[in-house]
Amino acid sequence: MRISDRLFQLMMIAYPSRFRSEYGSLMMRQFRDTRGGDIRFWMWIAHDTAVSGTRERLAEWRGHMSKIALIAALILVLPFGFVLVNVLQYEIGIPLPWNPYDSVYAQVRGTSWRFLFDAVILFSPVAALLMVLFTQVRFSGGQDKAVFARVEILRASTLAYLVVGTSLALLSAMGLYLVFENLPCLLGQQVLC
Amino acid sequence: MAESSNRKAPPLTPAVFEILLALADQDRHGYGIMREVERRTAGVLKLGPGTMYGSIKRMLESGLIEDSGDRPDPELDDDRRKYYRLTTQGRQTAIAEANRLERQVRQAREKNLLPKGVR
Repeated sequence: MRISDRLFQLMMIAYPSRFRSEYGSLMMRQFRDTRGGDIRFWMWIAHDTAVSGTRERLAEWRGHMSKIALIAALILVLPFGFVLVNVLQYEIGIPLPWNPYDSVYAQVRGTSWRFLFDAVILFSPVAALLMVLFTQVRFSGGQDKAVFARVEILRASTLAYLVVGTSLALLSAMGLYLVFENLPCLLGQQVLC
Repeated sequence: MAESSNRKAPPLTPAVFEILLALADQDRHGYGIMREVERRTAGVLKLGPGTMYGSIKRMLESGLIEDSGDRPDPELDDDRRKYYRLTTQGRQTAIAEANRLERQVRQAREKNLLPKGVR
């Protein structure tokens, strides 16, 4: 096998394995037919591989959309439970026999683990939202000057809509909590904040 | 019926339309398609292996083309090559796209962007 063949084979890692196994030999065949030794040829091959490789990876990812929606839903379990339990116990006033988050919080209070706990609770809905949006929504440039950009919702599953709705609700709840909790400080009515 | 439904479909990508055009008159393999596109566009569009087989994959999935079982000249050819041909749906889609482009060219003439009466 020639060095250029080996190099192209290495570049084909850019494509998903299923695509490689189906079309890899045909692509190698075409590469050999068009092979040139100059820098322009290699720039053309590198550009083609980068663009089409990214497109195939995204297409494969979109194919696993339901799996991603499921993973996003699992990511939401922790912050959803946290908000639900705290709203029930502290906002509505329902006494719960055991608050798992308070137990964990008592363990991590005063340590650097607390920041990790807060970050996980806060950023999980953001991560879940981005995961679903990235796989379910396609952004593209407009076809003409009248259309600046086009947003296309792909085959959105019920679970995906549920994840988006829950993520937005959690982020709103946490945002409102942060604002109202710190409102006396923001208004200057409380000295020790 | 098929044409009217195709008319509502979004415009094809240049690569997909060029592959449909390349297969309109005969079955071809990937490299044959690439050479035909390069010849017809005077080298302006050169489909790389990734763009070519990515487009072919999507066109096979959407039923625009199919794997052609027969080989035009097996003795002169490499049996590892795969030949593709247009399906009826693919031909109708190509016709619909060509009509769409023709309408656009007509409108460009009406707006004096192109000289009138010149084909």
